[in-house]
Amino acid sequence: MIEAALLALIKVFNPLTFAYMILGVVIGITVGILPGVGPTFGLAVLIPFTFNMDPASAFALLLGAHATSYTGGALTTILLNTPGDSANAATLFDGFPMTKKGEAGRALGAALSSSATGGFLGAIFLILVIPIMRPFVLLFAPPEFFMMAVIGIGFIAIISGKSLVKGLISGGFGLMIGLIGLDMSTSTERFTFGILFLWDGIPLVPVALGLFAVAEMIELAVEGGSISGKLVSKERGGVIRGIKDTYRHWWLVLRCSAIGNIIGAIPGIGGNVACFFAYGHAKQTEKNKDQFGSGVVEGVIAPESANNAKEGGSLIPTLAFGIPGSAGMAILLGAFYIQGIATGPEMLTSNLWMVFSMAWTVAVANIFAAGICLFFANRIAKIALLPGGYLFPIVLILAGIGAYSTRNALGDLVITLLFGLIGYAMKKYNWSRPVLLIGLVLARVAEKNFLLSLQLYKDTFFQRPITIVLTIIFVATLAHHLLRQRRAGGEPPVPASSFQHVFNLAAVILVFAYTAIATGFNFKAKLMPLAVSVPILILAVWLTVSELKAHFAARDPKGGASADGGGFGENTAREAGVVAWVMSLFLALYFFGFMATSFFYVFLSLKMRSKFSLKPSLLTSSGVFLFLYALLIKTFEVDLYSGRVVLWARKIIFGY
Amino acid sequence: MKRKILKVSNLLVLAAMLLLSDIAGVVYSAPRKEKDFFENKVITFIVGYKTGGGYDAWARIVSPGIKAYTGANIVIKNMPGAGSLLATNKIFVSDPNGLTIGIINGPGAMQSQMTEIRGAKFDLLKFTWLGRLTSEQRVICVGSKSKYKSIEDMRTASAPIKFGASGIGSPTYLDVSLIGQALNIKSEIITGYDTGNEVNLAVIRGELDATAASFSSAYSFIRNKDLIPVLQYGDVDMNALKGIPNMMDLPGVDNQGRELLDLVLSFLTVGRSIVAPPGLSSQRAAFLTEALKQSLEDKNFRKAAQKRKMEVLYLPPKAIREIVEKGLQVSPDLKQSVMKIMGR
Repeated sequence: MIEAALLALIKVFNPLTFAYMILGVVIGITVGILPGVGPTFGLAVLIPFTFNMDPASAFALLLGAHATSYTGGALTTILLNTPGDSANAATLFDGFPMTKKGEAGRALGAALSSSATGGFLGAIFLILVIPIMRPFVLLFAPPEFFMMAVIGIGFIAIISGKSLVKGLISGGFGLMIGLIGLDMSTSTERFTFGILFLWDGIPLVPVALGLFAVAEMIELAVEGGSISGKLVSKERGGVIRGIKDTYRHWWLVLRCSAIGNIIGAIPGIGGNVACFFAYGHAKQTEKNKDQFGSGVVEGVIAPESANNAKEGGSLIPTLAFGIPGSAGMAILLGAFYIQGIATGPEMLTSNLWMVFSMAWTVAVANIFAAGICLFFANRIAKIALLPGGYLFPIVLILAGIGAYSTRNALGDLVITLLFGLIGYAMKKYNWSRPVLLIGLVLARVAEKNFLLSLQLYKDTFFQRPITIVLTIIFVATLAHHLLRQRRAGGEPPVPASSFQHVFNLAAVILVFAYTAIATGFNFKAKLMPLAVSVPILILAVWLTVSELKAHFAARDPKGGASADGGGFGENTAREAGVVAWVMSLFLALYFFGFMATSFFYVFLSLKMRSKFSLKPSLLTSSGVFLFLYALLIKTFEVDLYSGRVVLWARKIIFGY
Repeated sequence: MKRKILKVSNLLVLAAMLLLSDIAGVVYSAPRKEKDFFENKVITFIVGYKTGGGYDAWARIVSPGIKAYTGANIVIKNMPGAGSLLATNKIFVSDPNGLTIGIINGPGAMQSQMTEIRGAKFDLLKFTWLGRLTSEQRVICVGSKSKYKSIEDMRTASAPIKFGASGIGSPTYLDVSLIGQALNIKSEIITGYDTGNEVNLAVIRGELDATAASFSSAYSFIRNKDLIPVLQYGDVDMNALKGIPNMMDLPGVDNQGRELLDLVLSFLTVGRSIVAPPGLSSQRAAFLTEALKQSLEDKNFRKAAQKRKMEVLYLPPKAIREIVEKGLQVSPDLKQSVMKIMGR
């Protein structure tokens, strides 16, 4: 076995495969950095290229790209508050606040070094558990998956901290959205309104892009200026400081890598939950738990070490049974198939060196990716200093491409736009957006495994040993947290603006409608939606009423309602203008397609909206166009939508 | 003067020859005209599943041959959603100009159309069929530690056999219900699994007794002895499943049961087929049919298919259309009982 491990290590450094791995790493970082164009997209566009490659090169390329796209994703999460993929979502809590505090470099240093360490540890773990991995994977069944999902949902309360009620409503809203679509068990259409596109539910990527990328750009445009003002330029040696932070917190890194690994190794729970678990765990156990969310470095280290570690873990079920442990791994399994390689335990006997070479590739690629990013980190951190006028159209275009390209569906653009507006309102009125994502990720996992457990185990559901342990963990952490919170005292209701009351009321009406519709489903299909929406409805009504009360109590003689500056006036006009620009992008995409829009929209936005002069506007828009053309159309041959107008014109002129 | 006449007559002859050759071209080389149409255009090849899956792999390995024959570029467009209904609907309403083709899940589409699923907005009888690539042999498997060792064990068992499926009305659910009814197997179908792999893992864990899966997806599990095949069904017995009984050969099935098994088989036979939208001109359809046929005979294609153990079971458009027509003509009674199984 040691022989095979060494042989594999030598093979990793074979010049050709090594070159492919480095190419993969560069592509992985690139797709990771582009907001919305996440890891699974990276693999999907690379797979066609591997059809004519030999297995060693193909896997070097794919694993190199896959293992490192999360590293790239961390960059946009920290700098632009835009996760490349849901796996980076937990980094939002503290990564972006650090940038706002002017510690972008430190956050990047910490994220990159903990990603690399986590990825490396994940690969080592993979090698260590090979002898016991089959029994390990078989330990977990639907009751355990269900309890894990419940623990994840419980973290919503822990992460929300003082604004518990709002956190619960946001998380609950995520859960409610997650239950839209065809119910897997009885094939009941839920909240689909006859739209086939909604059968598979609301997908995560367009929602995340809307909530973060679009919402962040709206805010940037409304407020003007750049993301972190002049703070970053003062930061000296931030990257190095971040790396040191990681090694100062080695024990946290180790624990979170283990969490990432184990969750990655369990098929059925979805690796994306790993980073939320790691963050929740860090917040529970670190000394400065009350500062979490305000930009502490531990809040970056924890999720980033978990999300690269989980990739090593998700190779475990792939190797043990030929069953993928994560979405990315499912695509990789397709690549095995394309290469004609049998997966599963057979691989351990006939192709053991390949298993090791995969583990080594993941480990080495992680180190290289971090090295490359760290080298440029100081320069990349300057993105936060760019005038917002540049970021606005570019990030929006990329978000549009990211939303469309995972399923080639125009409907996903509508979802992105809608959640962009919701996200902006949520941000403005202090509703947590990341917990909405947790809910969205976990809703189906929880429901599916609950219903399966009921069918399979009936009354012995909670008598399985691991389930009991998980239940105890859940109850204990939640009780501990709530007691602590009680002693600390909750947040008093803040006087709110009139708009905020409208927002609250809209939420109440929405949840009420959801509940009313859900009562019409059959028992299995309505169980989970109602279990979520009824408590959320009560909480939402309570919140609306108490905020209204606070509003009247705090009413000063002037009668103004400007608690958050969100009343009527100049700001509202600005907001309306920005929202009109955002909407016009989506209309333009529909009529003129991605390529034409990428040029004209960027140009017009710079020239007319930001009032830049002709030369920089023209240069930037041509640059964006050429970059997208070279990368997506020429290199990856992505079939981007070409626009209604082009399709009509072609029909009229060429007759097809 | 004479020279001038000569010149004029020369020109006339030339013109006449050109005209004749043109007419001849139109009459005799329709394929060439079709080739001119496709040259340098883009054919969008719609796949209703994600990159890296089985359907995607088929689309990707046949397209180089189609590209070579037609001269058109081929872009594979993955449109996953609603168990490929979304993509099948999309192909159905696309312009019938030959520039949109797609690979469809025949059995799934047949089932959706027959049971009038709300999301199915196509009519298989109207599609322009270009040919069947392959059809799936399916297997019923048990776990290696299961107390059931053969299909006869299952038929005589007193306790219900636990199967897994995604949802009520999913292809596996219908298969298991129909075959179970025909063979008198008492079955309990646990629903709610997302993928076939999850069901396979549940069988390996011993949480379920058995699963019905396509041979290609169960293959690696069978080879690793994690799953043990006990019954196969489909139109071509697999060499790799030698000794495993075919459902059509089992004794003790009454006429009503046979009718159910015939229905399962006819759905399966539609297989993975390439279609174009309804209303494609017959000339262009013939050209694309030929392109597909040629690409399946291509040397590189054969090598690639062999490496991936993808077996071509080609059927020409006419044969496949007959199967579809026959498959959709079922007695009202049978349709009624299928609808009941589907929960409607």
